Amino acid sequence: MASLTHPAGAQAHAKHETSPWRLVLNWLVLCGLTFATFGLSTLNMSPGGHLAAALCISTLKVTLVVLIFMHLWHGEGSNRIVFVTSFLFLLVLMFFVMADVSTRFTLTNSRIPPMPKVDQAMLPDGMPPAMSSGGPRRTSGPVGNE
Amino acid sequence: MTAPITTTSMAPAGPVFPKKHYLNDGTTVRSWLLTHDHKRIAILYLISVLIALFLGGVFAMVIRLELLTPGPTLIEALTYNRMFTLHGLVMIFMFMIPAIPGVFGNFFLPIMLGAKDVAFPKWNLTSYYVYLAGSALMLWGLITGGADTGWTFYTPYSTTTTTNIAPVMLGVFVIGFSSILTGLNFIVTIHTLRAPGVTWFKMPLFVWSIYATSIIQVLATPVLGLTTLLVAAEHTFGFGFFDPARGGDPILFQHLFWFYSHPAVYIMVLPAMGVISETICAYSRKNIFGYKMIAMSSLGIAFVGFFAWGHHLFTSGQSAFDAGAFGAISMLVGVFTAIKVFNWVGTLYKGSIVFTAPFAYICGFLFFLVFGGMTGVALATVSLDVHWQDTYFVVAHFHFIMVGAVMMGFLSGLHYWFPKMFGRKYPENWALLAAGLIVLGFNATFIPQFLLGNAGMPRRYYEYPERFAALNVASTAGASLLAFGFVIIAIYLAVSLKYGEVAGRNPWGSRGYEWDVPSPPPTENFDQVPVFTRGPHEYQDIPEELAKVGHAI
Amino acid sequence: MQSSATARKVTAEGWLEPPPLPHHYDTVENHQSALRFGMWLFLGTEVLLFAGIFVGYFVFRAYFPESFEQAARHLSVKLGTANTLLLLTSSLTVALAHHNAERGKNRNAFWLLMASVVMGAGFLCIKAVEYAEKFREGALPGKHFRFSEITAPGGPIFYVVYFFSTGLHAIHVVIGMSLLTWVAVRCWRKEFSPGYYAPVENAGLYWHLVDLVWIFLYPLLYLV
Repeated sequence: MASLTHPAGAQAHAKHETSPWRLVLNWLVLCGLTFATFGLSTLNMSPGGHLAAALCISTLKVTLVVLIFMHLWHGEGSNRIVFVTSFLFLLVLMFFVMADVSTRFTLTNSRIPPMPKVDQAMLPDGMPPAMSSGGPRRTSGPVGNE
Repeated sequence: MTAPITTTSMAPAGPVFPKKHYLNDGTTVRSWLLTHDHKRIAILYLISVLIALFLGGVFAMVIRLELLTPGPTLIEALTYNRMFTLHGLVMIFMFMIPAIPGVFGNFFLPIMLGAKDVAFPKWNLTSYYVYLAGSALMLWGLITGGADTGWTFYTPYSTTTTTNIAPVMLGVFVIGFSSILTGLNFIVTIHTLRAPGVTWFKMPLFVWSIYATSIIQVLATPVLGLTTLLVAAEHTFGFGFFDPARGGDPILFQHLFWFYSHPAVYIMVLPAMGVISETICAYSRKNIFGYKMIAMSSLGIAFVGFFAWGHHLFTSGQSAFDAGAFGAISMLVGVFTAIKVFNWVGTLYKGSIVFTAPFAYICGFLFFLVFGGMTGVALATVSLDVHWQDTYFVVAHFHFIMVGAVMMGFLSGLHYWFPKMFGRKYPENWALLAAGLIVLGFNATFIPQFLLGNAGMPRRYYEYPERFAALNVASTAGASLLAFGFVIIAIYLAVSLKYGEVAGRNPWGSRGYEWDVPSPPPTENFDQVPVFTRGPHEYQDIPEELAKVGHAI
Repeated sequence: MQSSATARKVTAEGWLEPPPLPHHYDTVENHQSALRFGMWLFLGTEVLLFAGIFVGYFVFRAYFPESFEQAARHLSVKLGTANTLLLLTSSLTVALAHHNAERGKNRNAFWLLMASVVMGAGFLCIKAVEYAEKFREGALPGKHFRFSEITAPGGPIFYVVYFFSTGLHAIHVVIGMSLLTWVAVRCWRKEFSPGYYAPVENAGLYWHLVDLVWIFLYPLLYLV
């Protein structure tokens, strides 16, 4: 007897037959993609290119795991919506924060001068540099061209 | 006697207190502490949130008493900082966020859907104990070390302060888990446990608002969880993620914190709006005006609320691009709220008003939501916020929403549903008096704060210049009125629990689905699977016997 | 967490009969569907839990690109790749365990789940080796940073991101291993059948999520 509030979904999920070989094939593809990511990282690309390539392949791997190992391909619509929605909001958070970081008045961005090796040992124990009397000061030393 | 319960079944002449109901079904302590019944869990939550409300109120009175005079009055500066931190944390995490979902959501959501319980009753009980554990941890941290950062824990102060932040942060993390579990439970309940015939657009509006709230709880709270972990780790291990001296970015903290904390205010306000949708129909004896618009606007508020958090960072140093974007988007929330207000007023129009205490709270709610909301839109204007940020203008704005709207919603629901939950009526005279005190007291407390903020008095300041004294005194006087009103409510509700007049199944003549079950309801809610033959909030063709509503006095 | 296994009778096929349907559900399908949906909602919250630290990664990478590059070169790509393959394989065994439990093949499911647990333990061992090396080098977060080979500014911040993200992930690996072990014990007791296998599925979903997080962490920390 179909549930009255969930007519098609539950049945759709219950009935599909997954051959175990489909899972093994998925695993082989995923391992292959792992080696591909590694291989791509050894190529000579700009940092942005590396990042983009890595993220593309990762997204592809995640999609495969989610659709096949986690059965979302045959799953109920509500489960798919949940997963996609959480990812979308991750992107919302990411977008606005990165937009802020990249368009801010640059002198408010994080920067620290390179750590002078000697000074580190002279920091009193347990005190962050801001509260110690001698330590790298944020405003001292030019960093970058801003 | 095998016909399903229809919605026109009649109560016998004279209200009858049912013999067996959820309150006396098992009277041992164990049967209460290990209950799976959503109604008993709601009562457990009710006791805890009322204690939290009392505590938060005590801290508020200490703050207001301190601010009675420009200089030191009662306590010293560090204690004052601890007081507003305590007030904020206790009120927000221990009262505002769990109250309406935990009490009325737990109690009424299954009944309104025709279900016998929530989807995962054991996880429901777990959520209560997680809430208690988190609250205990947070309070212990606040008492032993005394966090003085404000409830917003801005870095780098919170990560470098010598006060005991770590247990407070972990306590908040644990309470967050409770919020997630509750939201998760409600979403699954709404999706899978609706009785036959209860389609999405036949659900009561309270359910829609709880649904929207639960979505926010599930999506936003984890980010707070991570942020509290990061702050606790940084404070304990000296990580420097948010500390500019170590290359960290304090604005990153604010982004992560407010990504939760702004939608959190919608977690607080949406359930109150849902309560008002229920009570406004009952007390104007009229169908809701614009059911779909109200239902959809709840989801709209939930959605847009996620894109607005940067308005808390206008003066913190975020980029102008972000500030502009967040400012514009923040105003969109006003659109959805306005839709609701117009629809509620449309419900009142040509309705047959019954002026009871819950209705008095509805009036308060509408007035304060509009004013609080409009000042919110004003604050969303970046150039204006530059003047108002961190002043009492902001404090007044959010208290208008949190106390003016949410608390009025809570009180309206508490009075409306008191007969259903406990089978007895409260004394209407005392309730109206208390409602009057609360509405007046609220105005007296917070309107001066708008003026103070606009005149430049900063928030979280222990002392202030002489010229602000008169308005501060007025605000404290108002707070005392508020407190007095609450004390009166506490007394007559407690007395009515035992000595109130027996209510019967439907003393208000309301057409909400929950009024079809006995008051108090049996443990199982329904003997058979219920069939709801009318729409939600449907007031035309009222049976004769339901048309008269008597007062309880 | 249905009624205890001891109260349920053994059926002709060799597995225990499914636990009774909770009183407030109308059908078994609806209940299984609710359990699955609840688990997916929880996974959604886990995605958002990790969201913050990923945001932190990108923010500080934008501020300190050179030190992120330098620090990444000091991480062992071999160990990272080994860990990735371990988790991917354990995902496969978990998926196969679900496949077996769905058909009532409890013993197979048991061994597959234990294989996943062993691989999870292997992951943690490799992580321990990496952490030990970091401690030795002084490549530590925040105020503990002493690693002189990272010369660009922002070294301590990279290690905050590294330790926090992999540490939080490792905690989830431990939780996942516990869930899988508990479900494996229930497999040993032959509790699962075509009519009841939700715990295996849900524990599996959690483990897959742990894998998903690592799929993103691996290239971001080790390779770019």
